Amino acid sequence: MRCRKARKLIWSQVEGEAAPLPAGLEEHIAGCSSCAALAGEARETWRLLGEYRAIEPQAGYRERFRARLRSAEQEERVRQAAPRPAWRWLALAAGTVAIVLVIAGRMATPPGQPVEYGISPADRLDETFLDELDRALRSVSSDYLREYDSWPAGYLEGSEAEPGDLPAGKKQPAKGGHRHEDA
Amino acid sequence: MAMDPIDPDVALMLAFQKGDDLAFEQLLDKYYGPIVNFVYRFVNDRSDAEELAQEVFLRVHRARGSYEPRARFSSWLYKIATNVALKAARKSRRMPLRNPAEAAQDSGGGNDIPDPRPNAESVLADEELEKAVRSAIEALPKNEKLALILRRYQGLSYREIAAAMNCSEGAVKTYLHRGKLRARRQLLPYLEKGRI
Repeated sequence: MRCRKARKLIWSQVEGEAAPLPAGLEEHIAGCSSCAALAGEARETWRLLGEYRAIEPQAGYRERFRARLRSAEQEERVRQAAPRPAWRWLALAAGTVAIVLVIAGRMATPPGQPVEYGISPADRLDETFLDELDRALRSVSSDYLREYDSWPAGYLEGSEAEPGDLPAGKKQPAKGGHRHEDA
Repeated sequence: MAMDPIDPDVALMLAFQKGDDLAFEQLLDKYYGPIVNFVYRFVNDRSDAEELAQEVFLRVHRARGSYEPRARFSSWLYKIATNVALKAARKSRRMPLRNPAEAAQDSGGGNDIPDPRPNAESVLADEELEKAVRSAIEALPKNEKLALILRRYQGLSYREIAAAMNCSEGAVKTYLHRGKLRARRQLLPYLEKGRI
């Protein structure tokens, strides 16, 4: 057995827990002066610790315990009998309502979309309709509208000219095109 | 942990659970002294130790309805005592070592008047040695101190200490080993003096 292993076992040996000890330990201690010295120190340390003497409990511990028990039981009865303050219930109710509202709000909104508070479903439909109308109007060529807006008021009223005739200086717009070339 | 089927203390606790108050008195008489000493060596104050021991038994009394015999009664009791002692240590954050005169009073002997007997020198030397041992225990980290007290003074097995400290047996062995090495360093002057 090596010294390193022997030194570990020596400290276990002093407690008596490690029994039975490995056969080689006693032989090693017998042949190794430093391990033998350590074994002596370990035994004496363990023995010295026993010098911390025990104390006797103070007389009347049973009576003191009974008195303390009665006191603790009395305190418990008083605590249980005392009405709980109303604010605790109110706080509990408010907390519950807040939690329910937060959970309901999260469930009503698809994940990843910001929550819009104060908008009714009807308002949302209106907004959607207006957005779509706006997109549709943007897709119509504004040039086309401007071209016909510039025609003389009389022509548009149709007093002299036949429908389909253009005034002087005006050209029939190219088929499929809406550009005003004289502009 | 498997329960010892013939643990008479478990039987007493179960009897107490069924309403036998005398059974509790028997447990109190049997374990009050050991619990006082366990806590005393941990907190190093006699009056605190008595107070905390009462707290331990108060908890045992309160556990009357919920007690389940899953381990030896002593293991369960020392677990409660360990929790109470650790809580007290956390609360105080300071466990002052009392003066030697107080310590001598606790151990039942010694006072301020010099002892006229021929072996007075020996008595003083014993007191000095005890004070050194108390200091050595006091200086240990709390886990090492707990393990060492439970093993050296209360005589618990590694398994019982592990249950009381809520750790593995391997951890208990480590705490004990370190604690013994530290104690040896502290007590080295007394080992070298050869008065052992």
